Amino acid sequence: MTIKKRRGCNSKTGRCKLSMAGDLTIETVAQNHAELAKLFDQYRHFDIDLAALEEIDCSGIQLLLALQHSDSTADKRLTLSSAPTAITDAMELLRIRQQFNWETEK
Amino acid sequence: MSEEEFLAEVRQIFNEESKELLEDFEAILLKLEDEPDSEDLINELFRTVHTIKGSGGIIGYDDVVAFTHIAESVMGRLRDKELALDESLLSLLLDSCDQTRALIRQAVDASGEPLADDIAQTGADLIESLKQYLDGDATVDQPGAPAENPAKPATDNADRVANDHWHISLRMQPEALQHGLDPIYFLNYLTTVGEIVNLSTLAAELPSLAEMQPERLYLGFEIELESSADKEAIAAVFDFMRGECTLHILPPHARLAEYRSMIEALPEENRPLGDILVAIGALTAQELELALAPKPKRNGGEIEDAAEPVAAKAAPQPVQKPDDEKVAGAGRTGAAAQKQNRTKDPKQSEHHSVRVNSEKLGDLINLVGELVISSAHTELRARQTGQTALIETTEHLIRLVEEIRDATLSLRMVQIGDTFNRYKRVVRDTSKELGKKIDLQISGGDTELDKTVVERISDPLMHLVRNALDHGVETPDQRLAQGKPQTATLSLEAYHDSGSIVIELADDGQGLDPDVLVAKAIENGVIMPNQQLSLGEIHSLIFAPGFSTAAEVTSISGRSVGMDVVNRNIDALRGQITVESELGVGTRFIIRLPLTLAIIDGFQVQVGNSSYVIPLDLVDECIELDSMQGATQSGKYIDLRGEVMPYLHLADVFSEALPDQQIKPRNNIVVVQWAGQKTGLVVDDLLGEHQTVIKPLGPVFKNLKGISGATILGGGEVAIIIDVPALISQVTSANPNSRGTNSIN
Repeated sequence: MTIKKRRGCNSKTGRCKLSMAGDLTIETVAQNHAELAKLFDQYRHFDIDLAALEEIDCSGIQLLLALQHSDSTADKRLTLSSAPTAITDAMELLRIRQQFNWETEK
Repeated sequence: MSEEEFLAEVRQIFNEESKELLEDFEAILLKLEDEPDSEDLINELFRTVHTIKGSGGIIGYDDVVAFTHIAESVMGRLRDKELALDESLLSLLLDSCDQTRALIRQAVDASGEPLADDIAQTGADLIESLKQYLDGDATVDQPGAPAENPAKPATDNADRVANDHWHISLRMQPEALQHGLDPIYFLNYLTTVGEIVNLSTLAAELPSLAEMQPERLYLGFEIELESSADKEAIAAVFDFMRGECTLHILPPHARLAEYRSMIEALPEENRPLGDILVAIGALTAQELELALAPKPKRNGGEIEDAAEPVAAKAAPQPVQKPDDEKVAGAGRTGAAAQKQNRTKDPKQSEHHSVRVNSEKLGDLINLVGELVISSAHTELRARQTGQTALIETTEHLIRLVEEIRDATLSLRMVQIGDTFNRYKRVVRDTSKELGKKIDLQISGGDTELDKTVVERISDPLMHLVRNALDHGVETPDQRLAQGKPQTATLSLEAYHDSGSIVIELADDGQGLDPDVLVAKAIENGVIMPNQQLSLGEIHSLIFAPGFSTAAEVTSISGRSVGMDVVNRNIDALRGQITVESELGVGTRFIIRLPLTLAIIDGFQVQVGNSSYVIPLDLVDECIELDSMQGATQSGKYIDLRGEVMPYLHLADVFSEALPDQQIKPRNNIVVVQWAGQKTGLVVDDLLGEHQTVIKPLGPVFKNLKGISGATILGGGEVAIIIDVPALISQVTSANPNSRGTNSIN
């Protein structure tokens, strides 16, 4: 998985725009966990574009859920967008899709 | 690595591991016989079986899993004190251990083939017997243990939930992801047997982003499934992660008690979990209240404890199938105990060892052998140069090589205790079968010897043990009549003695009757009627081929192919077996074995023009054969500080020509000792210590007496290794008067 900061990140407003690409699976989550945690400390609002994700496993789901859970606990905000079907299918299966904030379709 | 190779490797590992586990299994059971109340042992037992089942499941040994599941369930009840461990249950569990072993062997040897009829039949019988313990028919009447509740049937009728879907509760081990088991995959797979109507992903355990470990699984799942499949089929979805998860499968309209016990068994707090169950429609709000309501006092322990068997009975499937109430079966006493079990898993914490292919070890030992030879060569060359510095360096090198040699050989050393413990079972079973009371005492189990030796001694020893049980020990009545204690004692002892390992097996039974032995030997043509034999020789007759004194052949021994095979096996190990016996008092078998089969410290001597090596451990001392004694060559004895000691000229034994007819300045006697018997070996020269790599002689030489092998000296020439025990027995048998005699009628 690659995580890219998109344009529009602003440390003053605390807004962080990311895009994830490739597989969000146990190996890649482990590789990127530290970096994400660092970003997570720096910013407050996260917009993550999932369009380029190809595969997700439970570890990836846990990562997104952990981000989402900090919504309430750490006063952060996570918004997801453009998830491909591979990702939404997994979320549907686990009945967690509704737990996330999705960017409203334009 | 292809998948097939991988699987083959996993199977191999499982095979080896399961051997150890089964040994543990049996050992624990035998320990439990002495202390049936030990919770530690019962927990250990449960874990052991659980591990066997778990790893069997991963490889897909379904027969093993199905059987151990039942055994495990019974042990679970034992652990929860719902059952008391009595004699019959213990025997049943021991039989289950055997059955598991048979199943694993079958699975490993003939994977894919259907079970052999006899194994299948035994399995069915055992499962039937085990089930009795599960069904609660054979529960405890032990004081303190919860009694089976007579009111239970009453709870059967009402108490069913409205939910007409299967309810599946899945909690996987945190390591599951690392093991490549992704719940998403299994849930997807579950949709092939039914429709997931509702599902709740439990993320309460999920820590914050910073704290979460990506490789750990924190999620749990509560699933509502609409399916016409039976429980078997649903459970089969999760087959692949048996042992890695706690699975509860409740049928449509399950009993409330089942939900109650499930809620309590799950790690989450009862109330929030209950709310989730309501949310996904597993329970109605009222049902949840009922389920969470404090239980009536009188039934307190019972409902919870008996929940599993109740559930098992409620399941609308044939009873013969394993009740996959919980595939892992570990969740019975709740998450706390389960977590504890995991951390205590002995396989993870205790065994700090590396598995090494024994072939590699063999190669290493061979190499070290070559190293020893070549270092001896180097040393010799260094000496020839006369350069002090070089000689010193080589001496240091030699010392290091010796250390390497010892360290390498010690790699193969194992304690004999495990082998001894195996006989506990034999003694237990055999004494039951024969109606005798026998107490097995083991000492020196920590004595170490070469693994090959241990492996090859185990069968002969087993034979001796069986013989002792069958023929040696009398029945309790006979013993009482003779004024002996009713319970016979069989002692098994191992210890080190001058470079060898001694294993002694002694019983306090009836002993060997010399008259019977002689009569039998004459009858079988082993000896001539007028032969004079010492008592020791008469006792040794039992090792003669085709010699059985048992009047009747029993299933345990007495088929007249026993002792000579034992003797041959021990001979092949360069060992020796002797027997001491006193009529009416007991018999003692003494087995002497070399410490190792590969490399020894030798004592090099010169005889004629050749070099010989005597195992250093057997050398007692070296003395001069002074002219006085040497002059009386007619005798074969010398006076060794007041002790009569036989001696022989190695030159005569090996027909060595005397070197150049020169007058020797002195004759040396190397005094060797074996099994308490001292003998002098007259040699021409003492050459000192020599590290000896034993090279076996070819089959051509196998009938040569007095030679146990050969070795290569530093200079490249071959030296013969002297078989001291054989020479000693030659000396003593040539002089029958050296021991007490016994005339033959």
